[in-house]
Amino acid sequence: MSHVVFENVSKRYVLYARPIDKLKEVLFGKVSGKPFYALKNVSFSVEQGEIVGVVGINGSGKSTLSHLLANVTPPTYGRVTLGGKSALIAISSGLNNQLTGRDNIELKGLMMGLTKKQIQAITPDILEFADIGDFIDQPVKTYSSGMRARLGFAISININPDILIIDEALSVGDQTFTEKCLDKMREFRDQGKTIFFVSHSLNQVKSFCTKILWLEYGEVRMFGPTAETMAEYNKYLYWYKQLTKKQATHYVTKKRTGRSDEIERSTRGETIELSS
Amino acid sequence: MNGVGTIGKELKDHFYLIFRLSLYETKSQYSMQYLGWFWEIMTPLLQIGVYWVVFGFGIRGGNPVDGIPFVFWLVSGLIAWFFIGSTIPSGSRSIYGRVALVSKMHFPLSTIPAYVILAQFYRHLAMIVLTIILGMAFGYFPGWHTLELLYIVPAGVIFLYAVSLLLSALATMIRDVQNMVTSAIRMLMYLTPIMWIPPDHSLFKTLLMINPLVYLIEGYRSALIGTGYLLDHVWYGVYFWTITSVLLIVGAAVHLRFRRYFIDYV
Repeated sequence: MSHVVFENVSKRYVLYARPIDKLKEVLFGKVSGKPFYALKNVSFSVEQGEIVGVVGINGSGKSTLSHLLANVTPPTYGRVTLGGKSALIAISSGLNNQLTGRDNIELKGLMMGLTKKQIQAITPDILEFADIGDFIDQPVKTYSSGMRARLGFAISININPDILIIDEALSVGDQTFTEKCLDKMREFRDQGKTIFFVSHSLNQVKSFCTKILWLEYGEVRMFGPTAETMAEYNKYLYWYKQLTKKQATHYVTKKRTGRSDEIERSTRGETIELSS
Repeated sequence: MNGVGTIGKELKDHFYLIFRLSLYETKSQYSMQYLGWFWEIMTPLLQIGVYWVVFGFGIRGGNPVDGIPFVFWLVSGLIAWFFIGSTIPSGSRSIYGRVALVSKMHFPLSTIPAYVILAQFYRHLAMIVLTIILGMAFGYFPGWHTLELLYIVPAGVIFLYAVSLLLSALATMIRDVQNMVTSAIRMLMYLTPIMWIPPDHSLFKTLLMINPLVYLIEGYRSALIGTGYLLDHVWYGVYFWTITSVLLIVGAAVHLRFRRYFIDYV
């Protein structure tokens, strides 16, 4: 059964020349800036229990994709179907710096739509996983970046999402924590949950993912089993590196211009979250 | 009209959420300070002191207002203003500042202005109690008129929610709205007869009453002092509720129409 489906999904941001253009759009609904497609006609479907690595060079749309998966922002066109609750883990995990770690657990839980009882039930697991000792009762602003990431990660995985999106979040932890996270993710996979793993660490992606989604300038360049896609991606990286400066600029410019071309306007974008 | 129903249902369904988040709101506001609650009371007290000296002694020469001691008359209107004047700016800032933290599309964003208002409301309740005690010191004991609080306090909260719902949506999309709100509040503080008594000029009085805040301020005085204003101004009450309903309908419509896109404006 497909767990996550993207059908012709595009996400448009508008680059406004003047602030007044933005106002016009709010008031009259007319787009008067330059459109920029962070994602363009993206279609793919992922089965339950799959671990999908998302790769691509900077600006290829990886973060926009993770926001769409996490149901943070709606697509402009096309349809996103999520087979359950999704949770995003990013480096800035949306913790309130003034409040203590313990307060943040409840706050985050409430915002994710958990009840008081559910929050109480998962708190010990979060404390155990985050392993930040006495700091849990100190304001988050006193935490090191590793502690912050650990707490954010611990909260997000313990709310028991069906779809987990990890956006570069493991890059700040140390080796032991990364191992702990990877273990937890394997456990998730075995429970039949779907994981999206956005990372620049190709080794982690290679050893861990079952499939690779390769994005290039907002479009899907390739989507398939890890070995084949990684081989192609490595070839691409090598090819890109050996381009002369002029060739590279030419290539990038060509791709970028194509990116603001109007796409065929399909249905108004929507995200459907099926209850599991 | 439907929009108001949707918003009402969201608030009702997420009552516990609003309550807990309002507590965290106050907590994170004061976590930095050693004397958090002390400042909650001290700042208004200092303000009252200054207005008392300037308006009570400087301008009025210490005369009472219709036989009511000036300081009691001042405080009973001013506590309503403290609530209004701090809630409207923070209410209109509420969604812009928090939508990124919420970061889930199905989070009921309409609860954000509600819990921000509720966070201010605790202090307001404490001030009402202190004002009643102040009144007793002057020989004004609670009576039947005190029950008017059960009407005017919810009226104020509903009005402030309607204003915040509309302004928070607009301020998220158009940042200039926030600056507009800040200067409007500064002007309204003097355009509303809180510290001064409007002269007996019927046209001037009528023009002043266009501002629905006058109804709230005088309503608080009616309930705390027993001026009888609320019962004498039933039609002004109808006007107040008409304005509130329009704000609520427009606010709900704008909020529901655009909330999908709030995150993209941050």
